Amino acid sequence: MDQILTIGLNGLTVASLYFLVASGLTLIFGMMRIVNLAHGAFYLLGGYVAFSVLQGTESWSLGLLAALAAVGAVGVVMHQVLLRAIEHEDMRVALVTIGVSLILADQLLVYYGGVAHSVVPPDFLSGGMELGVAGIVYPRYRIFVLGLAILVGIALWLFISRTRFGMIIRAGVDDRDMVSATGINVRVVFAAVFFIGSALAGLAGAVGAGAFSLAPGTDVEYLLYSLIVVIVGGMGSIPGAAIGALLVGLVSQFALGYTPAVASIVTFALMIGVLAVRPQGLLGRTA
Amino acid sequence: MRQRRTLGRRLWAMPVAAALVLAACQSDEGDEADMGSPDMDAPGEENGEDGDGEGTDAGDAEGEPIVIGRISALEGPYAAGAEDGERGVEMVLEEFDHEVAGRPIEVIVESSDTTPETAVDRARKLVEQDGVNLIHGPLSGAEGEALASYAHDTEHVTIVDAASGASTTTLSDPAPNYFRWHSEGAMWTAPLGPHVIDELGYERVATLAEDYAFPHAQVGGFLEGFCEAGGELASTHWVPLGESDYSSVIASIPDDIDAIFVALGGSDAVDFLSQAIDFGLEKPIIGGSLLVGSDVLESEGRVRENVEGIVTSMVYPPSSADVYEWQDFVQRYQEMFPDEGFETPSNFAILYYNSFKSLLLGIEEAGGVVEEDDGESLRAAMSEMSWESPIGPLELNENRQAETDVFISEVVENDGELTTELREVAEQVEQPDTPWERLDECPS
Repeated sequence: MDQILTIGLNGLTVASLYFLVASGLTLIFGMMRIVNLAHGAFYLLGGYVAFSVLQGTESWSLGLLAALAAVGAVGVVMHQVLLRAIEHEDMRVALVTIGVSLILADQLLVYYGGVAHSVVPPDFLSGGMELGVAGIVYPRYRIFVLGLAILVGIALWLFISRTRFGMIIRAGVDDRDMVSATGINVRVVFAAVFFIGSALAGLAGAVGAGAFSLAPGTDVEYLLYSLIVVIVGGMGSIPGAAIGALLVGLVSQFALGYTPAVASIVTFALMIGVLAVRPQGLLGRTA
Repeated sequence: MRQRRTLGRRLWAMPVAAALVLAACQSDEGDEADMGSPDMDAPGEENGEDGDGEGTDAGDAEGEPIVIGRISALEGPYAAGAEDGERGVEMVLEEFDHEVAGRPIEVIVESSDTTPETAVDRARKLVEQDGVNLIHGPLSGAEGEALASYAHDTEHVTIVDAASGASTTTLSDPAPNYFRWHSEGAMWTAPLGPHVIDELGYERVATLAEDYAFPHAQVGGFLEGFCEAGGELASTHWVPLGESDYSSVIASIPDDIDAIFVALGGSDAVDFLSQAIDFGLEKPIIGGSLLVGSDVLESEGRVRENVEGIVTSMVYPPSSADVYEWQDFVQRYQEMFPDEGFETPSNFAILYYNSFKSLLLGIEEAGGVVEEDDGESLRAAMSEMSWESPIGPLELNENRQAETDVFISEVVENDGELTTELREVAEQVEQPDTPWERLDECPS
């Protein structure tokens, strides 16, 4: 019983991290139909930025903020400089973002080396806490990640469904051309969406590096997981990303707990299963 | 409407396609990563990236340059270890002043990522494109197995293993041109099983290891001795190499055990050890040979909080041990790499050092004759040769496999500082007769 509960909690907390990463990816896709394959590298960059800032200032929250801002800025620059001209050509966008991803990951390898890095969380978040159920002691930090993901999820939902800006985004998802025809400066909206989407990857990296170490290769791992999450949940849908993350997190954790050797196969099988039944993803819309 | 439908369909197919493209790119990445070989301004090493830009590290030697192709796992979970291995090679090159038997040494470094496919790809590139007759590498067990079988197809190439430790490599149909100057994974843990029962009193254990050739050997070697001495195996847990999440694995470790044997290395070990703190793993940990190496202990984070008391058996002595010429080696390492290196050399530094130096000593012994006779005199020389390495005497058995000492040690806290203390030395551990595959129960 303990074991099932603990593994269930692990699934939830890992799902939180996946959601943080994947929500940025799906937000950008929903608005701009751009699949940013450098998203994994942005995660890695966020983690390393948080690490360096933490080393320099000894402030963990400053590290998180710096990661958020820096990676958001990098995302905007990439979009404005590299992607603006080719926005409508899927394959070119894919190739350019893969290129950015490889270059960025190799630069990080040169600078930080291959040693595993982690961002040590502050004292009040480390150690375990009693959950009051079946005597389980669960790491406080993981609970924090879960809470943060729920907060970010709610904030995104409010932002998109309740604000004027969100309304523009929703309208943009449905019909980009009409939105710009009504006199709204879509360029600015695009830049803002790219900032938020990339910043989410940076935040996820900074937070994730407290639970899992950062090393060369982490970028590809998270890119792959966030792609699976958004494909399962439906490209472009934030609630879809949440459900996709939950499914992937729980399935991968129970697989790791009970049949670790085939865990990754089970996760991919989930994706194939969903694609076979609902090719557009669980909450994806048939455009 | 119609147009949008096709657009939508194309778009969801794209990330899948892109993911596949990306996966394919991964295996090719070696080339890019070469250029970014982390902090290595090794004067003696340049990679032969563009085919003709090979290293030019001629000393004053006059002869035809001797070209050595090297394969090192500079990407993936052992990236930090591989970097340290490169330092070991640098030490040898400096010792030899970049020349051997009157011929300047040229080195072409290729990076792999611990997968057998990449290792063989790199070897092919070195042999077919650069035309090398000598290969030094690889680092990891599965890579070693793949190269040993590749060696059968390329009889004119002599391969000297850098640090890989799968047992099959030199046991199942060993290639006549594959040489391994260090003992293998099963030998590293063989003395640990009885030690755990006799000295520590742990009688029931679970095992946790990565699911590939080297940890298979480590678990096999450990369980053979452990079970024979009367120990009981409660459960085995296998994870893929490169796994970063151990929370659920830790939850599924049974309660009724005395200790857990953990054969993880590199960034996997870092993740396991930090998560073991968070998830309150209370059982004592018995370490496989790479669990508490310098590359793990000196990673950035809080791994150090959880390693006190770990008993492990390794192929090299702890830095404080006064055995053979080890202290001289440690001191030279620290002098050569005061900043970028680890505080004390890792497993990989000493194994790369020993294997690369063995190769150069062999070439010297063969009078620098390598290409003309397809490596025959070099192989004869290495088979007969023996020398005193920093971790003890080295010579090869009939499988061209060295049998060296194994050092059992414990991580202890001393005045607030963590150090490793020697507990026992098992001298010249012999190569077992059977190669270990993945074990899920005591070997019969």
